[in-house]
Amino acid sequence: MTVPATPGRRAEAGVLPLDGAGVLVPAETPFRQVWRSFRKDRLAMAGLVVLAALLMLAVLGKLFTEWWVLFDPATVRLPDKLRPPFSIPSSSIGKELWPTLGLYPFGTDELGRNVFARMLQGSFVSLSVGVVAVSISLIIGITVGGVAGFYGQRKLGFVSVDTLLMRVTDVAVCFPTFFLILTVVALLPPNIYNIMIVIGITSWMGTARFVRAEFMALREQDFVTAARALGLSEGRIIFRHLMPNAMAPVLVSATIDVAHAILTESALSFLGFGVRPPFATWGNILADGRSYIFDAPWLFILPGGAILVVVLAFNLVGEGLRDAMNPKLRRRASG
Amino acid sequence: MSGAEPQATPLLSIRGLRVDFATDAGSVPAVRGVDLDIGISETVALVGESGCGKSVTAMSVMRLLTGRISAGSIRFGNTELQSLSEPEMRRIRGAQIGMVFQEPMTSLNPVLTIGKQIEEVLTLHQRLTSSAARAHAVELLKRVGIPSAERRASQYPHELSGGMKQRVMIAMAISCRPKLLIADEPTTALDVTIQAQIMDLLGSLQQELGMAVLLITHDLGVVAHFAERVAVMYAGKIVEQGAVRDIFKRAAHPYTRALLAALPDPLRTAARLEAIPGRVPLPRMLPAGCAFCARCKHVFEPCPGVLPELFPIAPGHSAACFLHDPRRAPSNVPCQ
Amino acid sequence: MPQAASVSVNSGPQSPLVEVSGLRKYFPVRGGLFGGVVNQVRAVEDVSFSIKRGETLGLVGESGCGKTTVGRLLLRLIEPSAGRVRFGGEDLATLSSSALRQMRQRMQIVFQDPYSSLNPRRTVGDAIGEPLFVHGRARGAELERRVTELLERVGLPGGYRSRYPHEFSGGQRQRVCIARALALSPELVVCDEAVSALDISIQAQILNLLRDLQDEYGLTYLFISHNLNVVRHIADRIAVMYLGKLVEEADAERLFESPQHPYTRALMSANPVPDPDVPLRPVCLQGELPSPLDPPAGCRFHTRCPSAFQPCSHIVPEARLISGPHTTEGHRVWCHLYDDAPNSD
Repeated sequence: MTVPATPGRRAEAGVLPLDGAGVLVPAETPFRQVWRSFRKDRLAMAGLVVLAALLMLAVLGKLFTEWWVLFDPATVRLPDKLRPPFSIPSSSIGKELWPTLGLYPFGTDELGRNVFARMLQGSFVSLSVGVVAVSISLIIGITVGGVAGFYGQRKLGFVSVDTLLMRVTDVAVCFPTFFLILTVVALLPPNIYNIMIVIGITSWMGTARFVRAEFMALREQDFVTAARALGLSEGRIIFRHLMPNAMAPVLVSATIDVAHAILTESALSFLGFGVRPPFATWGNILADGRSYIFDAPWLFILPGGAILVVVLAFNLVGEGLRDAMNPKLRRRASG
Repeated sequence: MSGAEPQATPLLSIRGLRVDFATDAGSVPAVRGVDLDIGISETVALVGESGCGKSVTAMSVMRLLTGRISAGSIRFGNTELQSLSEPEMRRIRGAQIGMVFQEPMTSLNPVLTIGKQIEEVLTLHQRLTSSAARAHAVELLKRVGIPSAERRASQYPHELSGGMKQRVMIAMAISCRPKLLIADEPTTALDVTIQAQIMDLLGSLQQELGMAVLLITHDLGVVAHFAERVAVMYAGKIVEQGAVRDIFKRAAHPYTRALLAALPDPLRTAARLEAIPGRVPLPRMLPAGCAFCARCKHVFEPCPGVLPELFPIAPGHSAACFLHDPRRAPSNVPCQ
Repeated sequence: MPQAASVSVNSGPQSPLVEVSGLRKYFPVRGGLFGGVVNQVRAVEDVSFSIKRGETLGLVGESGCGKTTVGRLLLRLIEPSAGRVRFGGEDLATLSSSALRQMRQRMQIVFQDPYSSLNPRRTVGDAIGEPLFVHGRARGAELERRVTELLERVGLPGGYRSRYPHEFSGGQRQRVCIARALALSPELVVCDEAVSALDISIQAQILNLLRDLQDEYGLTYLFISHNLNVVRHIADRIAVMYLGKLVEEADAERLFESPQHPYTRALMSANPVPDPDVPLRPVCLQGELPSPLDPPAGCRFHTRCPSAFQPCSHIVPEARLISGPHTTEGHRVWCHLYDDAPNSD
């Protein structure tokens, strides 16, 4: 196009000029639009920064506590038990047990283990439980919801696919999830992978309902009918047209589900059904610390505070995303 | 001052109304200086395409705006509506000025019976007892042509068809015998046969109650048969106003003429319609002069730079176009 | 003359492009714990018509009359409960799903709402190019070229192909939808209220574009609309529907000059012409539109018909041929007032 772009001329909702002058203005992708709106939400941005920091910490934690052991969460130093944060090891600690940094930044627990090291190890566990469990629940939820929403009208014997899947979902919702998890975990070997799987397969119902509702609404949209009229295959319609549009609310609920999964894991570990000691998670640090509430308050304040911050950060990001992706809340220039 | 001055003291008199909306990118003008008079028991149609500011103008009269009135005055009788407090304004709304909206589906409360909703207005403005209000509500429903009104009064909105709901909305709007009824696209959501009934009802109510009607619409067919006077809006300004015949038979502004030519007319079928090239400019990219100049066939040198005022053409008929400026117009005026 | 277009494209007798016979669609109403069928909406009942190649058939009626359902049945976007749609001589119902996908290249649809008819997460270039890609018509640079060409054909700069729908106005989106529908060079385009959501000046632009495209590519249109003036402008023939059934079908000019069915007359009389000197004398229809769950027996219009008489309430009227000026194609009416006229079948 030969029309020069006027500086500062910005494309916005429904306003590309007919003369083609807008060709020179970069296209605004839906992603960039959401990001522009998300960035304005200060709380959500704070949540995002916290999450990014925690993610880095979790990766570093895994690195420094298990592979290149700078901070050993399992070293027992009985003479130094219940030392407050930032205290220096006593003289009875030998050189080989001397902690990195030369002090206990978060104090020590009742066995003299470095709480900082244990928190680092726990951060990886907590985040990975959250992320993996939610990934499992998303896979189940999207499949069930997607099938119910897209193929719902098909008949299986005397009931429709939709009816069948949704009644199954209703039944799954009715189970007292937490007790189910407790029972299953009590029967299975208590390792972290089992916990991730159990949390995942007991928390997909919300996602399934979400995806089903989205698919059913989207199926009626003209662009999906147009895609069928153009002779596109069902697979292409589902993965190219329905999925990307249904993902926005699912993503939002997933961030909030991650917070929920982290809480569940902490609760399980707290009750002693989760990851077994000596392997540290925020939940079992908290559980161990509960006997020393008055003698060593850092033993519950630190892991408790960490759980609070992560859960809050995920919730803030989730809510920020929801607002940013909801075009009704997003303020627009109206002509 | 506009050229159209139907009576010595109009019922509603809007002068220099400007409304701005705040957006991400700063304030955007929606109405840019509107002057409009409505005489007692007169029907005035405000027409234009979407986004031209016609609904915003109506909402500013009711003071139900999300935007900000940045300048201008709105006088209703002898009252300046802008200077009223909110409680005083509430006494005007519903009682003195009634309003009917486009969407009869969403304008009624779904959890109250329609009888209750009418009674609410009556008890609020007229301090009727509840049994008197009930009787009056049924009376009103009969008046707007709802069959078996007693039974209907105890029904909920979802039990009524779209046309019936619009009748209920009209019953509510006229319940306190307002002097002015603002009808914002009252028939846009309805089918033609229902539209004819509703417009017929509005016409007979207007005669009977002697109220003025401000009809906001984009449907020129409805305007032609219902309005006495017409004001055409484009990009936040009135570009032409006059009696209905002035507008449809002797349109003076190039936009009005282009709009009429763009309509498919069942009486004269042509292979092609005279489409207006381009589209309405963005509110923040308006030229200093006439907003229509980029799409106008007759554009000449003052148009892009100077804002045209409403130039009188005949008594009660004026157009905001330099073609009608006796000082500037080129000798070969292409119209008429 | 609107007829001129069809005559110039078709010379001599030939088979119609689309033939619809006895088309019915009942939508089940589900309820109860296991979602059993408790009732059915009789959306379309025994509709038959045909469209010639290069012709525009207007389908008018008020909301809920089933005109949109007819459009979708025609493309087999929904399955008919009964009846047959023949497209270019082939019965759509007998096609396998892959044969149907091939057939869909020959018929397309443009919708009313330009906002919901484009996927908000894909560029308009993707939207227009996808059918070309999927059907193996073009790849790579050739695909780009075709998309650019199509955009320019509908009056948009080709450079807009990397844009997202939210950056376009309603009229521009409708142009994109038309370009998408044209991508596979279809023979039939169903325009489902395609200009109803647009402002007058934009509506005129789109109507002109549709007319130009028809002349250029010899397209056949089924133009569904509630706006009589628009249909009169664009259609060669018009069919009027009421509550799921056809009530009248005739040449556009003929239908407007002498509507025969009482419902068509009521519809025409209520249509305001944008001219204050043409008097508006609407025939007011009594009562409400009956529910399609339980449509009246006999003629479906008899409950509101000003000229209903004895047989209307129990005998379903058959199609009758009316003769008169401009009835080159036959003027069909489904009304007992014309029981003396010859049967059209």
